[in-house]
Amino acid sequence: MRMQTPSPYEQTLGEHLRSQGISRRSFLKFCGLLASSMALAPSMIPKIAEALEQAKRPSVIWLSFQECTGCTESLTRSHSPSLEGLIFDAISLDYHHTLQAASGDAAEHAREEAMKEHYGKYVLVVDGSIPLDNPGYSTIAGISNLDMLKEAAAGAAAIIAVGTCAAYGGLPKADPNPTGAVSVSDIIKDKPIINVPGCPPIPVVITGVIAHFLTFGLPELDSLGRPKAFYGQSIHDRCYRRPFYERGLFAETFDDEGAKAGWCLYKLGCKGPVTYNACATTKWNDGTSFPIESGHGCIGCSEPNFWDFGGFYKALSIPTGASGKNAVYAAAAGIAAGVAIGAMNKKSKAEAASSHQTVTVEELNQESGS
Amino acid sequence: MSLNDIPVRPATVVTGNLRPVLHEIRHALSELMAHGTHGMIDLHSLPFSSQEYAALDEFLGEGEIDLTLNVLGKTRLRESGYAGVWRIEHFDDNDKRIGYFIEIGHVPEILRSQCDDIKEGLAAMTTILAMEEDNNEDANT
Amino acid sequence: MNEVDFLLWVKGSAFNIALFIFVAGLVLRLFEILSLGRKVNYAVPKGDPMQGGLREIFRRFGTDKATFQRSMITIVAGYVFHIGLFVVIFLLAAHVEVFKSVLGFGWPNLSTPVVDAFAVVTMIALVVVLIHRLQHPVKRFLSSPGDYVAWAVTFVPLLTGYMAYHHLLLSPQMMLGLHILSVEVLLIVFPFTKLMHTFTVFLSRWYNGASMGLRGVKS
Repeated sequence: MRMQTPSPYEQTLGEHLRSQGISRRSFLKFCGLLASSMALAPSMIPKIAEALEQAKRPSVIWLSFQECTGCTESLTRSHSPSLEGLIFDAISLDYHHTLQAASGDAAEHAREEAMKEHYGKYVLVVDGSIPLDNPGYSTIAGISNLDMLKEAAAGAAAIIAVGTCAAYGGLPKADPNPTGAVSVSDIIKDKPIINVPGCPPIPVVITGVIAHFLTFGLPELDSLGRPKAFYGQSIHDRCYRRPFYERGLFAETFDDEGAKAGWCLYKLGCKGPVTYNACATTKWNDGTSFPIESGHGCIGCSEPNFWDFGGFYKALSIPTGASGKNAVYAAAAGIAAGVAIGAMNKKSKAEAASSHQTVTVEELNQESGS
Repeated sequence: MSLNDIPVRPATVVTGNLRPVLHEIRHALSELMAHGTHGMIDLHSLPFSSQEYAALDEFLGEGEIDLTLNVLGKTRLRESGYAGVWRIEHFDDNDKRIGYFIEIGHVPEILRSQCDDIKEGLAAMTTILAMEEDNNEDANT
Repeated sequence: MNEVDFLLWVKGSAFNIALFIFVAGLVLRLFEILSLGRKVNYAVPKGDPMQGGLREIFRRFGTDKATFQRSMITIVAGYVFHIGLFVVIFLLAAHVEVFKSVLGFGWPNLSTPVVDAFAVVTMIALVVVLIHRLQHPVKRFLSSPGDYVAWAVTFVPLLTGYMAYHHLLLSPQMMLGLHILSVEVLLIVFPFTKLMHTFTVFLSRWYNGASMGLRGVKS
């Protein structure tokens, strides 16, 4: 991570990497891995190389609001020297209050400097949600999160909302949302916002989005503002356990024979079918595995409101709330209404019977005679 | 108790992705023959079971070349039993595989000496020779 | 409301409302029918009403040759979609989980592609009976809006479920949400339309058979 004062001459990314002693071969390897991480066809590698060569090193301002620093950890703890590290080194990170050496006034000064210097051109990265109930719930240097976000967003070329909190509100927004937390896109309406959700997001996805922004500009986004390159397919679509789902073979508990044989975890609450993320292919911990591979269902962390999704261990199709009890109440109500209507029916039957008038033979004869 | 004592015996998984990939390799190889087009298949982003990786390895077989490059960690290039079909494995500094491609071509792209590197090397060599000659002249005079 | 909020709503409060109306309506209708009662029959029974009733329940699964030849489409397509609905509703793994959560117990499921095939066949059969209903002059004359409503609320959940499973048209979340919503519509209208026959069919068969049995007549 390089904290750099902006130089008058803007280096391109290619030049920067070369000045770091990265050979062309290494650069090609880097581009190949980048294409792979961006889920692009290998035929795009020369184009990526060309675009990266020409790309200007962007100034990046990283704001952290109501968050746990897990997103930053995800990025900085990734293996080294990694693709993520290389891309992260390639940007000029001008403000990140967890990572920068400067603190207090000096840090805030760096942020203001960068915003002034690169007004309209810098990339704003946000992690964490923004409390709206009381500005005092979360402040930086006495500035409320809302004010700081609005000020920083005004001069940004684009905003990357890193983590589910920034993208959709995340844990702070979970029911009952005590701080009135909202996402970046709930506040900022006039800037391109790229959501990179996940709790935390996959490191290579964070840097992949930055790389995509550098090389090809804004990526294509889905309806929830996520780049389709990484969030285009569900966990379920790319899950290696999918064949078991198709065959109807499910683990019923976490220690039964099905679980040991690696069968599908749908019945144990896996949210893979409705969760869009790259875990199944990119994997975690240096590509070791992803949650389903270690025997736990997907919790759907890259989706809005995943904390309130009806329980991590309840199958996706199961309705939330107390359905069984509800059915009993409904049956009781039905019987009550049935008794009432039955009584009414009986009453009208009785009334019909009592108002029934019998006709005598004489009366009939009179009528036919007249 | 070690990790291996846990009685987890994954059942065989067939994702069905192996055969299409084999055919893609065959197609790319015939393209190389006919038009000289360079082909590349990214295996990392395909859902493959470990059994299928093994089956692919067995299908491709071992060729004559096995090279290791030192570029941002190691990169291993192996020609398969089929000439023109290469396995490219990229590793990071901790020898974790972070990329796996099948490349179809006369030589993997990354193996060629790159123009930029040659240019830089040429410049460096010229400078060094010039400096040495300068030094020699200085010594002679 | 984004699609996840929508999905949460249909799985949460909307499902509870629909289930409440369904169960309450079902109990109400059954109670109402049963509480109507019948006058005591003082005639000397000439046969066993229970035996007649039970026989009738099974006898009407079959059909005589003449009726079959006259209404082949109705009978064959009818059987196909009824069996299909049973398989799709009760034997898909995801559905078994729903029953388990509401009833407290579950049962084994079929593999997904099998259920998928049943769903396709069921939809085809439903389309066939709809076309037949529209083209057959007598059937069309006899059809009321209620018949078309009953058809639609049965067909739409099948279609949306199929599309959600195959990731067609909309995102799976949205499609899953629509699927659950369409089932909720089905649950709500169920007790108040002819779909109620699911619960009354054997009741009425038994009743008819029993009254015949009482008279010693073979129905």
